[in-house]
Amino acid sequence: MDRNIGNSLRTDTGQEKFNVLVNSTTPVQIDFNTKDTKADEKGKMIPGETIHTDFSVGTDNSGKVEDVSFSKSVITVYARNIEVLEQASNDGNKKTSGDLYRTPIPENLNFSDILGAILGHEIGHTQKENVLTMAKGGNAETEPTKVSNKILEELKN
Amino acid sequence: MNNKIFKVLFFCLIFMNVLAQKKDKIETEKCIRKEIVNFFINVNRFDVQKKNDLNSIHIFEIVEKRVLGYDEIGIYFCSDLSSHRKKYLLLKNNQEIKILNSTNVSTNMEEIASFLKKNNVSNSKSILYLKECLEIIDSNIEKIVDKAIDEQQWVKCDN
Repeated sequence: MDRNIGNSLRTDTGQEKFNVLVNSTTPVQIDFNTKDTKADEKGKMIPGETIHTDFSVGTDNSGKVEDVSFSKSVITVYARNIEVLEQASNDGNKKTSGDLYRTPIPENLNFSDILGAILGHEIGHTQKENVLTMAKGGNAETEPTKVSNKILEELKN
Repeated sequence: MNNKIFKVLFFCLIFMNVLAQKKDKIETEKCIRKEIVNFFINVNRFDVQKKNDLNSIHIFEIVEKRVLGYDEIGIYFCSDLSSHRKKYLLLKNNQEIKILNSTNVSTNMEEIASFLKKNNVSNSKSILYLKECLEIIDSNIEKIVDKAIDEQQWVKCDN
């Protein structure tokens, strides 16, 4: 399984994120969920998510968030949703390739390619700065989406 | 002259400190957290084992940009800080809270508008609240759906 993750993160940006993953001081667990098909309220599939355990938020004496800490991050990737995206990317029709975090998926990507883009994105959510952004009410999707977009771009070449 | 400046600075510091003080009692905060954790269990976000893990949620005032405890009246979001999961809006009026969990956007916006009006929130601040709320509601569309419980009730946390 580790080798598959390493393979899926084989682009330059993917490699950077793999290094972030293996060098993280906070443990990161990756779960492959082969059972569920998580979706949003429009029925669009969500390919992955990241949760943090034992988090605590540090504030100043006026209640402003200054810091966050957590003991572990758990990334869950939904394999069945990735399979659907893989099929869409290989159906010979550019219009039906679907999208990943709002970015159209290029044609002819395999499961491992799509998994790499998802992991690159979700690894971004394991970063302390990203959790801090979320705790301060900011948009925590901006940076991880840049990463998944970059990986998708690299996979085209 | 120097003495006068010192006095003014001293009272300013005291005033700022008073403003920054926590306003909610620990019991109230605990009760609010308990209500939200129970809600998260009911919508299948949390396992029942998390029942007593009251720090597993983050509650944040969306305009004042501070955590629960410092604003008697306000609109908050509550979340478990996981990616791609919905943030719930929560109205707080002293010890009473209401989680806006309707799947109908208009119902939630109606609730928010009437809350702002009832509490005489200024127009400029109301605009900020409405903007923030809309942003959260919009970002919730592309999030993993929880089990829907389409009812909204005020809950009193007075113990």
